[in-house]
Amino acid sequence: MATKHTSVDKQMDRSALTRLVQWVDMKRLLAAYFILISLYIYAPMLALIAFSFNSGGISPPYQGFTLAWYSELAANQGIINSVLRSIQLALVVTVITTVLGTAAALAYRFDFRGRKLFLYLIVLGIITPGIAFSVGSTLLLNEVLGLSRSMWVALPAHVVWTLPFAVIVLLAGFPPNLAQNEEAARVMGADRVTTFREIVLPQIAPTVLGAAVFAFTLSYNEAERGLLLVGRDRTMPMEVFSIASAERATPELFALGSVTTVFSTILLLVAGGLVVYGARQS
Amino acid sequence: MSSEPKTGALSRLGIDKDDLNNEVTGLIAPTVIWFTVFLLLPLLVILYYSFLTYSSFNVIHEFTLSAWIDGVFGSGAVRGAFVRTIGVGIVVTLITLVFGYPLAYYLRFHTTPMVGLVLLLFLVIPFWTSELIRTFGWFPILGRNGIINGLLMNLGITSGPIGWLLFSSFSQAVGYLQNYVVFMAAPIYISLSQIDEGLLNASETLRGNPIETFRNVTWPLSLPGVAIGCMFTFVLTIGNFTVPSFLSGGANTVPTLIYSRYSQGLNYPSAAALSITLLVVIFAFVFLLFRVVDITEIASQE
Repeated sequence: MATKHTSVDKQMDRSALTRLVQWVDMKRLLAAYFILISLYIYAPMLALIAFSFNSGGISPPYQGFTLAWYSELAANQGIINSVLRSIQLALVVTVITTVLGTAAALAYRFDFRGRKLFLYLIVLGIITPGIAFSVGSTLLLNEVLGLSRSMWVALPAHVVWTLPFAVIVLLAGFPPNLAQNEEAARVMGADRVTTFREIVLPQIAPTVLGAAVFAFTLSYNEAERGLLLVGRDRTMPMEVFSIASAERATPELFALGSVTTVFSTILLLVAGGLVVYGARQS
Repeated sequence: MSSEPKTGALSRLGIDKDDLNNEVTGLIAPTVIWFTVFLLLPLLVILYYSFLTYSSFNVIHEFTLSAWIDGVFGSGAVRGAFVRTIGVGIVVTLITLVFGYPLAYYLRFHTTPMVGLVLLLFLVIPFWTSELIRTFGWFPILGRNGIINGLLMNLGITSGPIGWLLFSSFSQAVGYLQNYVVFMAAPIYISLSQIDEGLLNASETLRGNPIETFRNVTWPLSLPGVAIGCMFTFVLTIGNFTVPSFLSGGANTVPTLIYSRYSQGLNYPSAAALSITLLVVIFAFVFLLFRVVDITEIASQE
């Protein structure tokens, strides 16, 4: 279609462009681009860590190394309590997410009606805007059902957020020959429980553990979905939100952000390693 | 990798169809119930509350359209916020596509599948940590006394600090792109991974031209991934609360408006009507996109 009515001009244009493309080493160009994008994606986190040690506060110039913001952070009981609440909530969210998510992902060994519909349902949990979902959750749980606001009222909303990611990670990480191995065990006469314990579980265990760590990190860092539900029981990200809304960012928040980022990153590397390890097992 | 042989094999073992159905039901039912009660039901409750009204911090339980008429359709501020939100969504989606596609292309065609996956995971890491905290990380970089302004002034490119780097459309674009470029690249990468190498080689041989090959083979075959990437980026952008709250110059988007309706006087009906409108926009967009591009292609080949 395109060749039919290209003018001579356009053809010359195109061959010049082609020569340019062939001349530039695409591979190196794209590799350089990849490095730049990585730097860009990590830039805010690196800046956060660097300036959390700046005695001059959160903006340049860099006036010298200090741990003062970290000791202020450690002395701030409000923030420490919010971190402890976040950890408690995230642990419970993780257990529920892992159990529900693993069960659902195991169903995908089979062909069943509604495979696609189920995925649409859980993806709805990702695409529903956090703040609108928070309005809906508070209306249902606090207004209609009359529960008083507390950290645990945010639990259902957190699971709705973490579960779709867990299922996606599990589906991606389950070994492709899971069903065949299971079948082999059944052919040899193993019963269902033994097959699950001896064959399925060892194969999926690393991925499940990885998905659990992902879920923990997501819940620990989630602010919007629980924002209207927790009342004064603010979790870490909500505490950050309320401090930042009142006085923009403070050096203490930078210290908190650095600690959170470093711990989350370590956890995520572990989780990613587990998922990749699980997927490679066969 | 169709799953049909699996079921066939398992049923040969004497597991009858009812057993299989029971097992599948048992496995997915808890999640379906959880999502029905805690996701679908709240959305219905929002719809119900949007037809109520309120006076002095109390919701009045009688049917009225006032939240819709005064709070959504009749308000110039709301219309402005909607136009701005959707405009930002479209612009951010396009920018993210432009930056995300080469990233996916690199991972697919210039690394091995294993390295590609590991690099993708490496780029996803920041996404899982608090968006709020990542947003603050831009302050020392983009601020008036920030790193970029310092660099520009030292190099003599500008004489004074540039004001529009932070709390502006620019900083919002920077924040959104950082959030979503990997969301865009990942599905495109999956689409590209499913392209048959033989097809590309054939095209290279026949046309002898990398641009033509890209235009006529690679790009059309990557469209399902592009569609999913665009969907995620657009939907997450217009629902984003953190970036417009902390990186913008203070102009409201729909999510910040919803929050202020709530926080300034617990006006639930008005917040509800706005939330429903935002959801309708999102669902309409997703629906349209699915009509145009067949995303089942990407799912069926998995």
